Amino acid sequence: MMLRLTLRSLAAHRLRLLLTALSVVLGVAFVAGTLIFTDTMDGQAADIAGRLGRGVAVEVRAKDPGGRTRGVSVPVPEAVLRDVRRVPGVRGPVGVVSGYAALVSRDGTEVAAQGAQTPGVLAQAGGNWIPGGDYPLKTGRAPHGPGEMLVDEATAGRGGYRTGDEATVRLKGASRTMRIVGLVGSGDLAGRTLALFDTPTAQRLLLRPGDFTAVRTASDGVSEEVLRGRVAAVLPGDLEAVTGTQVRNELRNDLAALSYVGGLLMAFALIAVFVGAFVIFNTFSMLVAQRTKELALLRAIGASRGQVSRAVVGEAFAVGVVGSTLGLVAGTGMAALLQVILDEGPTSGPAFSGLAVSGTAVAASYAVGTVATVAAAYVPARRAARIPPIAALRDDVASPQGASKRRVVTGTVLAGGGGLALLAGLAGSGLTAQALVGLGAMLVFLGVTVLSPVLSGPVIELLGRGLPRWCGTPGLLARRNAQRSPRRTAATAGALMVGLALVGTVNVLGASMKASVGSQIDASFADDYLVLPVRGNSVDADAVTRVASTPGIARTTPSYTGDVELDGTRVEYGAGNLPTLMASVAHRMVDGGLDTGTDGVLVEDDLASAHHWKVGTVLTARFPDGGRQEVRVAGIYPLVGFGNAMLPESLYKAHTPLPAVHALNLKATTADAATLTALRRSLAAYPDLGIYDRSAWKREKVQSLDQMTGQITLLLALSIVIAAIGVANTLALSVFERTREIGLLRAVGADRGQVRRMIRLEAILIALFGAVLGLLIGLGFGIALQHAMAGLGFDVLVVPAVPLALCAVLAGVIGVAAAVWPARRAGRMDVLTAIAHE
Amino acid sequence: MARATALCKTYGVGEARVVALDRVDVAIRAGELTAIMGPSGSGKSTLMHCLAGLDAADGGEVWIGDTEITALRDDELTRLRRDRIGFVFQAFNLVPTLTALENITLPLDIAGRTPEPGWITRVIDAVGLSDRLRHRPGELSGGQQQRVACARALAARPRIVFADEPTGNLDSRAGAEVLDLMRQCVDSFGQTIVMVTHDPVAASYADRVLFLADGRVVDEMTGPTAERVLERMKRAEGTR
Repeated sequence: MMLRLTLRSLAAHRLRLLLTALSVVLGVAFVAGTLIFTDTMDGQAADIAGRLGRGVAVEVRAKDPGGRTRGVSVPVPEAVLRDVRRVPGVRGPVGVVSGYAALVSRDGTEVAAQGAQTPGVLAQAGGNWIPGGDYPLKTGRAPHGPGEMLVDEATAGRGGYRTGDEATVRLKGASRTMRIVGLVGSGDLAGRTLALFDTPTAQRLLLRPGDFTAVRTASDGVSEEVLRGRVAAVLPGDLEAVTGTQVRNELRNDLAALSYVGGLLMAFALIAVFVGAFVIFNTFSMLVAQRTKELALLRAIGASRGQVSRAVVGEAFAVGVVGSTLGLVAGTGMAALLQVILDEGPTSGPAFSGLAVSGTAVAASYAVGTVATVAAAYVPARRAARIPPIAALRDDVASPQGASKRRVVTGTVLAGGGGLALLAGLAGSGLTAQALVGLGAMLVFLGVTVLSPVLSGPVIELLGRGLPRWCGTPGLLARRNAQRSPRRTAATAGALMVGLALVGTVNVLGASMKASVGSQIDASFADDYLVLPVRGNSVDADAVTRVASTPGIARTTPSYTGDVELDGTRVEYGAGNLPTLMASVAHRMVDGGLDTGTDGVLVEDDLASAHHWKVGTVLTARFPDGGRQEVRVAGIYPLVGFGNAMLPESLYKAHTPLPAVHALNLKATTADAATLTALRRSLAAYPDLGIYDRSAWKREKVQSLDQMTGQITLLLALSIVIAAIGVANTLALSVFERTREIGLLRAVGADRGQVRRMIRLEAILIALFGAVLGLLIGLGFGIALQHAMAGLGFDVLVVPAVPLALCAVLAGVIGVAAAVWPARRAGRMDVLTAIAHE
Repeated sequence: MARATALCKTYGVGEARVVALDRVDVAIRAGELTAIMGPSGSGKSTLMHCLAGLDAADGGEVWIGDTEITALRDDELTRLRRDRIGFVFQAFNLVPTLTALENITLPLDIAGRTPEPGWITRVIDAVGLSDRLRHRPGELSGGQQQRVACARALAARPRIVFADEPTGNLDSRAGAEVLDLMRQCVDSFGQTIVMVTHDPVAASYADRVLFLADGRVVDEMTGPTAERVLERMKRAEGTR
């Protein structure tokens, strides 16, 4: 019976429930889209890993090969390959070489990798071609000697080359012109480019003669694990043997590392669901309030409390299921769109290979959508159960609005506790801290939402103070209507609050970071120009010579980068002529000096204090070439953007087989347009090198921050759209409730325009209330975050007044947009039927 | 002041067709309280709604002063209601978010007109609620609410006030207060009022009573008393 009632009720309010479901749909769509997208990425990664690691039983490589947080990777000497050959059970062991190699297309630019690339996997890769290996020859023949190479079909096509052509390939620190003697089938490499040489050439160009990146072997029947053990027994100490399965899994994980995008998207998806829950809570509260009499009648004729609340929860469940279904469909579309966007452009080589809609994604979408809906409807359902049967007979059942003292206490405790959790999270680090930040923010939102019915009266009074004067009676009525049901107004505004709070946070943070970066560049850009690869990873030696001989350039300071383990801690370092290099960034030392000699290093302040390293401390350095050396801390410097340690050029070169200039700091005799033009002309052959003066460098740095702020704001727009649906929903229900009142207004002479204006102004007031709360919270969050990040160099706090004011204006616009439909309905209302409305 | 000629209004079609007004001719005299009486279904409310421009007639003409209103567009009708017509409904007369005073001046405020100095004070005095002006409707009794509604109807100095069962929801004492007030408006301000009622006592306050039955004006009575009205109604019952 109650089931039938639930179904009837659903059928009776189809449109309203669809609107409610819409707020679930958007959130779920985002969740589903993200999951499907990551599943698809993962499927592609597994596919590639399966093909590239096929037949590998055991791989020999440096212990802790170069991951992002792991140690430095050392090469595998040729002698190891000989030893592995003698291990019983191995079949066809080969030495593998890989490194950076980028094909330069006919127009002089590097052929870039396509699509979104993952850190930790070379996007423009070079290697040694192994007959019968992962890359079958499609046309041409195998490369022999220093002048020949193979490239993959897609890359050759994009570079404009065919078999037999000569092409330039850019390597670490140098370029070579070689003949393309054949093409390999690329298959799906997720957009990476590939250049292959014979083994000695690859060793010389990419690594070091006599070294391999890894040694791989198949098995003649022995299990991977057994063979691994046998191989490991013949290895020197800094090498390890791993099974092919592990190699494939690692490659798969590295390739799928793009799922960090998924993690980010998932955060926004959950925010959207959270906001959607606000809207659902509010809608169900209103529906219950409107159906008080009906529900009381049910109670009067014998329905139990449980039955009544189950009926409401049942409706919520149905809405959740419908919303989740639609969301799943929309999410699939979204994932497809996301792939197209990430694959950028129609020329995309790695074909879009179908979406993977896994059972998990489907289950998660339904779970999120349904649980959020039912949870949000739980309180209204309980409220429905508490309606006394006598309410069926009474005319006016005022919904309880009291208990404001308890409300203030609860709200303050929630918000305060949330604030503390947030601050504690910001102070810490790691996953727990991140979770604490998220939880804290959520509690602050809930707390403020609990408080906001108390706040809504005075705040709206203030916001709408001028309305009666500017907009006449509609203005006065709008303000009073917005104040009429504080809980409803608060819940409606609350949804908007969440989105705008996060937008506010991001904007405060973005502006502060911009200002911090700007002031850092102002303080540290002591030279006149900076030359840096926009794409690719080093400045060609030839380009360095050209720059140095450019008229007007007085001094050229090359800098280098690399990885080193200092006492077991992996550190990214900068290297070069330290006195000039440090002068070019207007350094000031915290301790010690620049006189490093041959074995001295400079260490960044935070790193030094974290490990209690002092001037004079001797550390063991382990380099990627396998070399170890004792080094001495000669000086400690504050963070200047050269990594966490600085090495003298000699030390870098001693341990780097293929030294490559990372950037050039230039001092000009006169830094004018003529010099800049001359510099541009010198580097005309290197379109992938960027030339920056101080302001251009600042623009470059700030631009990326602007982009980030913009993208996050865009992602948050979704939750704001959901909130707008909530505003529309509230107004539509309010208009329905106030039918007679609107009829009366029309009878005593209000025209349609005035009625519409009244509704619109109410929407604006509610939206502005949400905006004020949200932006204040956002301001708080932003300031807290900036403080937490001050140690990372973001030490300038900027409150971007104009963007924040724009947000408030935007909120008003959202209010107007949300009011369009309810206002039109109110305006269209027939006077006579409205008056007669029960 | 207001008149209707050959006014027709039907609802529904076929079997369910109901003739609410059947070629009704009425003339409302200025400065009088006219009561429209009749059993339920007689068309009295429809007549009032058509006269007041709230409902569109199917045929015939309605004049308010020298304006023929059946041809007016919605915005013109709105302006007409705002400037020349006052309303008192049976219930739900007041906007709950506005105070008594704000409700009284609502038509003027909506029209953006400034009240004539002294007029509002006179109206409020007449209504006798000067101490409750800051109260919201929820804080007023039913009778007080109806008196505020009367004041609201008078505030814009309309040509004509339509009252639809203004005492229908009140006890007899509160009802008498409201009726006294309406009588007083006619006598001291010369206000024209049309009142729909089915209560003979209410009708006895009128200068003239029009009796409706089956969509026609079947009788009229000048200088009515409650007894005569009641008797007339009984007779009407008998003839049917």
